[in-house]
Amino acid sequence: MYCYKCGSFLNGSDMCNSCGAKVRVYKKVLQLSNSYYNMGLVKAKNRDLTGASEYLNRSLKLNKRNTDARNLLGLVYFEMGEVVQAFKEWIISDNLQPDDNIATKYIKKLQSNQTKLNTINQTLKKYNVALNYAKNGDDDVAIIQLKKILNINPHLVKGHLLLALIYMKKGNYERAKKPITKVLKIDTNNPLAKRYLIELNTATELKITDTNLNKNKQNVFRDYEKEQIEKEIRSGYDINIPDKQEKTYFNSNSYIFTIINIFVGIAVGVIATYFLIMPARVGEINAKHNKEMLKLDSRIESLNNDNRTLEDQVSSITSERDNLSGQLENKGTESSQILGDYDNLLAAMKAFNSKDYVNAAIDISKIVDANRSQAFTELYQSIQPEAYKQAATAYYNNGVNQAKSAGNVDKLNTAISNLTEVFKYDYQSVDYATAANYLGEVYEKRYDITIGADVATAAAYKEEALNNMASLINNVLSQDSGKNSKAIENLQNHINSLTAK
Amino acid sequence: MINYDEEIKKFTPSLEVDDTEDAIYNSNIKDITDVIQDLLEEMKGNE
Repeated sequence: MYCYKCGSFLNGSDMCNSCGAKVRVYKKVLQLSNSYYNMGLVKAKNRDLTGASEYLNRSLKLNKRNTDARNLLGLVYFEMGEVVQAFKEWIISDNLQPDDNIATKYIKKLQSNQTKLNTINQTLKKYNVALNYAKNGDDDVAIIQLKKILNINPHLVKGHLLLALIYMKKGNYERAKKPITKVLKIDTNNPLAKRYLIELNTATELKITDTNLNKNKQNVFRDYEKEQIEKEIRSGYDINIPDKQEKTYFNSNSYIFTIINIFVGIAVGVIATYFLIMPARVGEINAKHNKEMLKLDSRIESLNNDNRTLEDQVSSITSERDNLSGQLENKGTESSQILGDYDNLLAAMKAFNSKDYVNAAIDISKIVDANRSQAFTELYQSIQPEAYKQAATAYYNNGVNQAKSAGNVDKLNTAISNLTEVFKYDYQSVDYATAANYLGEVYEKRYDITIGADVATAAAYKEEALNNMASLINNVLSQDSGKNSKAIENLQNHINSLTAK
Repeated sequence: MINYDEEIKKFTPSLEVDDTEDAIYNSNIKDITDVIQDLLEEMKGNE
């Protein structure tokens, strides 16, 4: 409790210790304000929002700084759909007590959800429009508008009340009950809702009484008729009283008429439905279908676009996959080459160690890359020259010996093979001019032996021999023509000689 | 019986969120203490 003059905290004394103002009555006023707040709180808890707002307003008239009362009043207004009133109370409360005030939280919460705030504001604007319609007598439009508003903002008490009033004005008392009940659920003691409900009940009772009165009138009329007939009978008039059969006939006739009327009613209803309601319904359904079709079209278009994008992606991924598998294949080939090179080097080593220089040289010659690693290269270089030298020597010796002694085509072929092999290895370590000469000789000799027996084979041998010798000159010996001139000369002589045959 | 048209006329338009500022400025938040202080000052002025 603070002094109204200087704002200092007041203790139990009737005088302000700071400014000396007399505060006895002021304290009483504040206590009264708190009492009203408590009563307002009880009413609010019981959902008597109108009662609560009255007490809380009284509390604030006594003490404008009663923050609890003001905040609660804001909440009560908010619950009744009066958002602007609620905002107003909370903002005033926040200004009067900026620190430790729950109103600050309420304001922030409401402001943080701009979508909801906008929606509420829209409903308030539409309510004003609907009110205008109602005041101008456009009740149906007002009803449609209010229904929409109340769907979005179901706590707008005055919206429900206006809707109920319009229904009542139109004599639609049953429908008016619903919004009134809703109001009484939100605000149990709403005076307007109660007043409308009383009015509604009275009007409904009157309607029922009217109906009963009409029924009574009919009964009275029937009784009067009956009485008149009986009187006539009693008075002895000769009247034609219908016998039982006629009466039955009359009654059954009336039943038939009733049934006919029912059928006629049904037929009229069906015709009305067909001519009035069906076209509108069909139009509505068509419009709905068109909308659906448009939606589906756009959806199909979108799906087609997605499909095209996916196809592009698939094509891109496929080409990427092909590229990668190509790379993988290359890698695989490369890997198998590496493994092959190592295998060949190992085999060559094995053969070299067992002095099988020919096979060592063959294995070495299969190595694709001699620089796989430093160790690989070193090992390669340690055996390759010797192996090639020894292999060339071995082939040379075998080839020359076979060339000298060969007497048939098979042996000549072996000699050719050996002599040709000389040039695959370190041919310069042997007398390769002689080797070339022997090679030429055995080629010629093979031709000479064959020509007598088989001309075609001899021609094939000749062609092969000329090609091989030319290849040896061009691809091997001409690389160092200075040193190899004798070998080239020997081969060339044999080429000339064989060509001439 | 309620005169419905008259009753509808009693309904006032709702304040919109944009009107909050005006509603705050136009609201009279004086409490009884303010009123009494005003009265006392007026009395002093008259003396």
